[in-house]
Amino acid sequence: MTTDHSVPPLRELPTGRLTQRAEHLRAEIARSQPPRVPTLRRLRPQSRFGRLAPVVVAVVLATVVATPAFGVGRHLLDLITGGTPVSTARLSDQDLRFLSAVAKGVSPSDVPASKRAQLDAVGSTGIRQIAVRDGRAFFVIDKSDGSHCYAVGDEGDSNLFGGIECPATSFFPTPAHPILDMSVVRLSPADPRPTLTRLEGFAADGVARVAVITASGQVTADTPVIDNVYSAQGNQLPDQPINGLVAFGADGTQLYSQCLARNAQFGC
Amino acid sequence: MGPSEASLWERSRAGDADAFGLLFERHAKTIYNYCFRRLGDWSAAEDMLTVVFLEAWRRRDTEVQDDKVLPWLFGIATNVVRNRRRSERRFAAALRRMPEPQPEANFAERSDERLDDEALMRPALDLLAMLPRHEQEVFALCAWMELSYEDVALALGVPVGTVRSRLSRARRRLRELDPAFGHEEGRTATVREALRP
Repeated sequence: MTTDHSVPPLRELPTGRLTQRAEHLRAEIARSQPPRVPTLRRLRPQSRFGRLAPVVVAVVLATVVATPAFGVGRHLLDLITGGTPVSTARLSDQDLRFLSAVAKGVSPSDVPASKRAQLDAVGSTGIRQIAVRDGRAFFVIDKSDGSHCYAVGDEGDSNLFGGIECPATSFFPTPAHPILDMSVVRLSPADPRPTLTRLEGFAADGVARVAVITASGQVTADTPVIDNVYSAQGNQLPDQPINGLVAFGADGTQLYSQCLARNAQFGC
Repeated sequence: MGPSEASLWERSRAGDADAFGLLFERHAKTIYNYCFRRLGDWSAAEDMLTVVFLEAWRRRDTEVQDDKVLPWLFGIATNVVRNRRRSERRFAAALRRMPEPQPEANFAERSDERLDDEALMRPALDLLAMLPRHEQEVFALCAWMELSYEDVALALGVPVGTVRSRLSRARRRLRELDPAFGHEEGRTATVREALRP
């Protein structure tokens, strides 16, 4: 007796489904904006306060392309090189697991169990703390392939990293993306427009200030970039909804702007 | 002729959703059929197609060699199919938002055709399931999707020699399990060719 184990011929997707799926994919990508969501804050176990605050959703927003840079200075793309070395022994299990996951682009549950394997997965050649601002510590993780991961966390916390990004070198730092924003915004069902909880991120050499653009178009919360980082919180931030960020060079030239409120009904 | 794979991938890596959409349109059929040949279910294959590309978008920081986007997508598809439940959970919300299919003009005819496909695929998958997972993956990519050894190696992240040895073992085991496997008059020659020494 013979059994037919051959496979059927290649088929097209049902009529209309290719277009429908492509549109769905684009919509899902737009929903997932910003494109490089570190998500570590969301992956942390929620505090009791967090669970009791049903109308507040904290979302870490990263970079969304808006306007290319103009007047880019000669030193805009200098690599960030300073800072104080941080021993990998200071990394908590959670730091290492999350860093390994973000560096490999996988879920934290998918990273290898052993610390050694996790470090190998990161391919780190060193970790530097480059700045502390407003109780927040900023780290650069150097990787063996020449790229970097960037992390920020509460100073003195047993977990060093609250948020981690591992952008491609072709993405940041570049003239098109001279800042790597790691700000936290709040969204509420009553008003879906984002409101800033914390403004923070990394900036390439040549970026002197980062400011916020409110929903009404006002430029505010002008924040200096020192040691390649910027940070502002509390009453330094506008309490009204925001549209995005803007970065300036030392001579006041606008280098870059970034939309944080991409929406058909409002925002940019 | 549209933009090159390398250019589309570089633009995707920089966050260009339109470039990524073009990559989707270019490779959707191939990945869709691969998912079907791994799952034996056209409807599930369609959902997995979406999951594969959402996962690819999530991993777009990956450096992919020029013109090797498709093998890289095969690698993602292989992982997605292998961890199907976890993948579906990860993108459950996105899948729920997928609009209902629009009615097709020749629905009945196509439906029969697809049911036939699923019936044809089932025994092949049942037999393949008797192999170790890594041999199943190599066999499906080499024999059913006709990828080169090099591309399979890239997709699975293993050396080319490993692909060759796994494929060889898979062929031998399949013959042991079912001597008729690959020697019958089938609808396509892919299995038969794959089993040729």
